Amino acid sequence: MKIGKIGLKAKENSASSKEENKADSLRIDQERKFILGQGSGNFFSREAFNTLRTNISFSLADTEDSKVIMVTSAMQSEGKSITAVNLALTIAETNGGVLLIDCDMRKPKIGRLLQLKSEIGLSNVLLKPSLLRESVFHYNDSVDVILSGNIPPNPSELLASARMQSLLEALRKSYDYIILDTPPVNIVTDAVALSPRTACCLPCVRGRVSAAW
Amino acid sequence: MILTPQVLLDVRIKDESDLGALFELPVLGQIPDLRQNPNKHTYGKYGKSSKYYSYQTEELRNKKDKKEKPQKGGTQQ
Repeated sequence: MKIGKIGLKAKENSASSKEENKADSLRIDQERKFILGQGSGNFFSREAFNTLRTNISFSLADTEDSKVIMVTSAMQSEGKSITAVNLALTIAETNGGVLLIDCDMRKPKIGRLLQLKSEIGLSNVLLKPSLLRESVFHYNDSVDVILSGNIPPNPSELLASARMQSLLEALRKSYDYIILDTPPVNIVTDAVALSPRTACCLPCVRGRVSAAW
Repeated sequence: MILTPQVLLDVRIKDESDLGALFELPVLGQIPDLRQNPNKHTYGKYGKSSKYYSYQTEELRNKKDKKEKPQKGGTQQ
């Protein structure tokens, strides 16, 4: 009887996870429409991202090296990934090369948003730096993307490691802007571990969704 | 009676002023709701987009105004 009950529960769980996956993929499809230059993006959203780009360039005017910008938020589903993608595309319109790195190794989203697939990503590069060339996708003329790669058991340790620092230093030589899409701060410590290596932290707050405390 | 506690207990961040009150950080940008239909003219205080963001010349505008205004001394039947 016990085995039967457990089996039933396992079936229920698999059904619910399938439904969750379906809902998730539907949500990603909807979010894909919000990427600028994909047929969407009305005048006001474009102008808002242009304003954001201008304000970032003003606030990082003193930074001499290439600018590493970390996009994060307090909780999940506050618009980190879509902001990171659109910011990369907007910066690339005026400035030189932009590299977008998906540092969310727990729940990666950039690959699904931009419809890119690769088994080699940031986690693989951190373990084996010689894979760097293979991991870089050329999304368009001036935007390159590194996906998160295989999901490791210790993402925060990997992101806080000296290898991550040396990787960012190597990438700084070839890109003007590096944008890091990181996991939410209140849930995991990955973004906090990465913050000393960045020039600017951009916390996203979603109006009428994000809680003040 | 029911609405008052709901408003008081609502801890969500609504706009830029709420953020300013909570954190001493500059707000670098405010992205509008991306789900908004771009064809709808719902742009808040700026009213309809065509009014403020049209690139018509002054001459064209004057022509339109003249057409709309009734002529002085016109005969009424």
